[in-house]
Amino acid sequence: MSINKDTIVAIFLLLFCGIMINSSFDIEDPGYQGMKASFWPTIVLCLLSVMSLVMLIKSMVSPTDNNLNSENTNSQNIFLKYKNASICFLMFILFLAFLDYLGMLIGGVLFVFGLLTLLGGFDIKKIINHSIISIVTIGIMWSIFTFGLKVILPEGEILRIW
Amino acid sequence: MIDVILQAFASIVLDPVTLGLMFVGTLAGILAGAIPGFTIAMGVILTLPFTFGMTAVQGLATMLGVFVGGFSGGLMSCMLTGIPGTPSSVATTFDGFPLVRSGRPGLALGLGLWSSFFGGMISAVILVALAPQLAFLGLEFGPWDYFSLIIFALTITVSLSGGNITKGLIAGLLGLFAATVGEDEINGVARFTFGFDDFKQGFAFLPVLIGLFAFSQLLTDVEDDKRAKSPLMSQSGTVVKVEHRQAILIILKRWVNLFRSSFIGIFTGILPAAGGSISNILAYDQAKKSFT
Repeated sequence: MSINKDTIVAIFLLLFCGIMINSSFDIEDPGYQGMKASFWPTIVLCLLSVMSLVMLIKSMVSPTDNNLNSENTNSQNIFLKYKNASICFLMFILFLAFLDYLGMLIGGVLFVFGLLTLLGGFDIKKIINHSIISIVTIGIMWSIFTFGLKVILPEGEILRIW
Repeated sequence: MIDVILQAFASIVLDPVTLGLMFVGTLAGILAGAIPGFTIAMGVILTLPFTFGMTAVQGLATMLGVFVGGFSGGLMSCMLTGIPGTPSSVATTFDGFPLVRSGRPGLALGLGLWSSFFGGMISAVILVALAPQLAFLGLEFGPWDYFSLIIFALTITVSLSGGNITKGLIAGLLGLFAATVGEDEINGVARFTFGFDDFKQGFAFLPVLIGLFAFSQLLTDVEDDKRAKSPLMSQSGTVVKVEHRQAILIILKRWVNLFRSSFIGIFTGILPAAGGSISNILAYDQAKKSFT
């Protein structure tokens, strides 16, 4: 028996189903005639639990080539494989966290510039390119929404004070 | 009946203003459909105020132009960016986007455009000839028939899952569960909101669609350092020329598929509440089965 990606996903799904089935007991029952609001979600979650269990058993009985113990998937390789995806998520979380202070314009420019530079490289030519791309694309997008479509985008504390 | 059709045809074709409005409407529809997250319904609603000053024929012609143009616009965004512009173009992403990535964007766009054209023509002819009978059939559909149709559509997710039935079913069930989050439409009771008011409205279809297709594609593209820094297509700098002739030949060569998909679209389209978002998956599934 070996642990592979399917096993981890199945265990995660079973945990998820457990939490959600538990939450389904908190769904209010207004006492109307007919099916309760929790009826269909419970059915779906029960079916999902069964299928997750099937997936878990199948992953243990007949492991696929997603084996996590193989040479190609040691911890260093896993880190390298998901490095860029992690950078994307981290940058996006930072963008959201600072949105109230930086606003859509400054925050957007910094987000695009940061992402392009972290994923694309650091030499001077690239940094100039990334700066131009981030300023122009976010500037155009911000102008279209603000002046063209009259949609109010988050202004941010910095621009508000300025 | 033929005299009515001729009269309608003459009032549109012989009136340059109506034709012009249809042209503008189609252009606006293509633009609206090409923007991911901008549905055809939204495009038609935005057009509605402009039609107040028009005659009934002109107003309908303009809105139909937006409606039909929206479908073509939707296929462009899903083929070129991998993000379905409209729910009805989800299935186009499955094969259209890989075809574009493999260096054949002209053929992919041609196939999409000409399939839309031929499908539209077939459905137009059938609807003009059989609209009353089809409408009667559509209105005969009761709750159980809808239930069966939806269950049938859900089972198709399994056949699209690439041979792994368990994973396909899990994906379908996860989708069903995601749809239950928010306020229950019958009892008005909040489900799985965990105290967050934002969850009460549930997950909107299009943001989920964009997240599933666009974000997952983005993460796949940047997974490898070398791929992340290289162009997505080998000829990304060249001007794309739509391969009309080859696209038409390919479509007409598979005329059975064209007619079958058109009939699926017509049948799903005449049912109230069902529409392009279901029919495109149904047609794709049948096409895939017939070619494997």
